[in-house]
Amino acid sequence: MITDSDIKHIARLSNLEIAENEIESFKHDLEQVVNYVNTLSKIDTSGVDIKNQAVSLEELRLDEVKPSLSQNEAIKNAPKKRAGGFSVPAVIE
Amino acid sequence: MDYTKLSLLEVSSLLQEGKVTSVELTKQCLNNIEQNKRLNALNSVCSEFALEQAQKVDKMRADGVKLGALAGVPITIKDNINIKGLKTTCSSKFLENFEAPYNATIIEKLLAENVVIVGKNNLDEFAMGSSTENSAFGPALNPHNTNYVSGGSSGGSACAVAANLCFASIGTDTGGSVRQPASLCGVVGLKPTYGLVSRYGIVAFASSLDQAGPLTKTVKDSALMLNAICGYDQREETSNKNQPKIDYLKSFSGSVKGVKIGLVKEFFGEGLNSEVKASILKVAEFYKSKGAEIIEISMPNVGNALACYYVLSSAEAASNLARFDGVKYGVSGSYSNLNELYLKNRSNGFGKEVKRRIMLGNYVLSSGYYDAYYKKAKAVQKLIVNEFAKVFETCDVLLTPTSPTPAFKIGEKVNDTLSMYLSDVYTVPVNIAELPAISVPCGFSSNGLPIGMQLIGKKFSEQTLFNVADVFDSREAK
Repeated sequence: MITDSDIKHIARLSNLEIAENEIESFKHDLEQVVNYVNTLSKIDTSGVDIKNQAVSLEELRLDEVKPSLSQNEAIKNAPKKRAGGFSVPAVIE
Repeated sequence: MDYTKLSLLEVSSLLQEGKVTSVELTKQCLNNIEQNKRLNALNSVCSEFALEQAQKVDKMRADGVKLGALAGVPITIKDNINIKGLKTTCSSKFLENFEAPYNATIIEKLLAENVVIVGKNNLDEFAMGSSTENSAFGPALNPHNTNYVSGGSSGGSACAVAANLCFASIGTDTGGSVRQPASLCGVVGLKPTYGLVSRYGIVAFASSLDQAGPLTKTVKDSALMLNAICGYDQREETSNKNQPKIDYLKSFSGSVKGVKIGLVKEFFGEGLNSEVKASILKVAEFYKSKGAEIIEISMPNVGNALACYYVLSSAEAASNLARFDGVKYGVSGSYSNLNELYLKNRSNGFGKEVKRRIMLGNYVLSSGYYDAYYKKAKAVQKLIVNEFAKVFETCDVLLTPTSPTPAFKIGEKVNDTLSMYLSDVYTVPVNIAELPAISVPCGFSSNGLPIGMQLIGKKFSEQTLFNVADVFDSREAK
């Protein structure tokens, strides 16, 4: 069971604003999918070691300095910029 | 002459023999794009960029420069792959104005081969979906019947190839997003082994499952495209270092004699459309008649792949999409504090399906649920990986349907999330197990919509897949 307060809680974790009139539809959809994935709980996975990852992480590269984007290129898409940096509302009053 | 109906390999020969110019081909493709705007296969068309490139290639050829098989061939790229200086929108309002500051590795590789990029393909927003109906710019239509979906998420790519708007496209496949639209539009779609193709410069959805792959008119064209995009990339940690460079065009022996083809019982059960089932069984008969051995097998755990997928992919998506905060890209506005900026940008920028996946992801990762969902799904993934390893002890490839049904009507599944998710039930296990698979057209439904078959192989067995797929694709009586 997913409740209204679950939806509000997950929306807050997700940094999403969910309007009151949308809660019902999100609740319905998420509940449907969560019920479906709940089938996983019936599967016996005792003795399965997930520490040995299914995704194979290849050898990491060396941490070497290489050419990368210029400052201007890096901030080109920012909605607000100032003095070559990203600009956001004040964090400390 | 209309060259756009030819395969990539065919136009490649004509280009190399000097019988057609790249400018001619490019103009024909651009013209087809213009005539078929209604299909909504492309988010943007880059005519100038394309024609400049085509002229450059023609000049190089005239000057006697030795060029590769892809030089001068017009292709399209899914709009979640970065091309420097062009927009990468991911079919999202969030990135409507985002201009890529750098090239994805696969784009660097393709441009080094002198391909001509004519446009960027429509997709489900952030590649989440099975019909392109989640695109902020409207769905890409199925060229075989425009009342039907093109599939997704690489629906724009499949549509563009099927409608002869280009000779190939690069899509991405996280749970079937290359293969399912290829199947629904009647083209070939390859999902390479995880790690074979670099993900650098591709907007991440679920990083442990994402893989780019070509959509083409033929299996041989697919091999040609894979040659260009595969290979180790130092900038991508999951890129495979140990695979020797292979010429995939040398995969073709023309024979399947002695090849062991597995038919997995679980892929032919409830929910499979009877016409699709009949088509796949006919393909099995075809292979048998060509000397292959058909082996019936069972994979009791494979049916859990979809549930496993929705936990893992949503969890990864929730984390990957956290970077979309409205600071580095997004919509300018006046906000009283930083939290409001995040909240407004994300709430207005993302569409409903993306929000659903982010919320599902954060739900399964949240305190109290992590063990029950995420950890459990990782354990089930391991069971599925082991199960595939076991069947590949006796089979060389597996033959399955790509999608349980032919294309469905636009609007038919938009209000039924789970039914939409079930479109990927046969493709998702492949991503979960990091395997390669190819979808090949194998017939039509009674109402004239394409049906696709899927061949699944062992890790890095793309050559075997190409050969087996090609024996069917190149059959005489099509």
